[in-house]
Amino acid sequence: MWFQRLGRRGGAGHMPAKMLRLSLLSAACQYGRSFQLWKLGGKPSPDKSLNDVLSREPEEVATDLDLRFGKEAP
Amino acid sequence: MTGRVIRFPRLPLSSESGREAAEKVLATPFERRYEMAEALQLEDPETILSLCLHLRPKLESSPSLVRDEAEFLYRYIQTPRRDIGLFDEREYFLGEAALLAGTACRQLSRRDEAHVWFDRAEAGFRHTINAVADLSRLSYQRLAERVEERQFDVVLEMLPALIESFQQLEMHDEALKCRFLEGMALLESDELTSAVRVFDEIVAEAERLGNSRLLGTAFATLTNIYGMMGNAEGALAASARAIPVLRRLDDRVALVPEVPRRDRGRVVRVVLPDLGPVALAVVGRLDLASIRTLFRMSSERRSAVSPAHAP
Repeated sequence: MWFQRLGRRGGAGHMPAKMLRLSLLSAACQYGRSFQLWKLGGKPSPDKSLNDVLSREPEEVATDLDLRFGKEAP
Repeated sequence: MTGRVIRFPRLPLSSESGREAAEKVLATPFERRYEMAEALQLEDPETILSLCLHLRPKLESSPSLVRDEAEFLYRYIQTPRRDIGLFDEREYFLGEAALLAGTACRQLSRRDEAHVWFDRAEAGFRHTINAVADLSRLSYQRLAERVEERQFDVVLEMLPALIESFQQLEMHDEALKCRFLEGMALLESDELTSAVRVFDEIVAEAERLGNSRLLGTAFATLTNIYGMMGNAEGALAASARAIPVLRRLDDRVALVPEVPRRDRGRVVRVVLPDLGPVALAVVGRLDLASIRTLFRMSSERRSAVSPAHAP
């Protein structure tokens, strides 16, 4: 529902696809981070790479993912 | 390690129900909305988004209404603090309501008030996900305000960076609106030949994007510039292309001609399609925005302003 409303912000056609993709990734990263932190209950994970990702800002992780997708796109 | 656990609120309205709820809100007097908030579903993000989407197209034709409604919305969301929607939606709605109120104030030439609303919009948008698009829309309004304050050097200096931002964001209509500000700044600086070049480029780009509103307004502005240059042939050619587009859009405000500085302070007779001749007393330093405000008022009353007096 959030994403469906995000696409309508500012009037029809305002938000370009590129921005929608980045926003969706940001939201997914924020949700994912919250969920993992809740599961871990304040303790560090035995998985070092997961700890590394959780220590970063979700927006930063989303930007990295977006750049990676941009490079992989044909 | 810290993290915010996101709560899951009650099931929100559908888009259609949000539109219906927004219509009910608008039909309810301001003073009754607080007591009826739950029945009006005023805290639902769909209702608030629909209100914003409903108000935006009315900025040109009914800025007073938009200002009052946007202010209500802003105050309602802000105090007492209401947790509305998911993620960044509360901050987005605060920013959007403030941007609507500020833009309406700009249309109404209430400049000090517009500045305050734009500051409030910035405070809201700053906390949204990927704020750059909304902050760029805000920057456009701030520069438009500076055009009306005749700070043309500042506008011409700041515009290229904003145009680049919009282009990077693939917001091509907004980038084109910035070119429009550039043209207006050149026009008001009496750099008419450069202004014609810019508006010719705007016409080409507006045709490419299929943006009829900017296309019609660009032709109307070219008509005025050619008129100021004494180029009757150019003016007639541009107006012949402007009028059908603006008629299709039912835009009479855009057809109000720019008044050359030398004519300001005199009564100018303006011929408007469908309304016939309208006499406007153009007094002192009255600028284009004020002339359009006068015309809008006269148009809303469906009667001519004759003659207007100095504010």
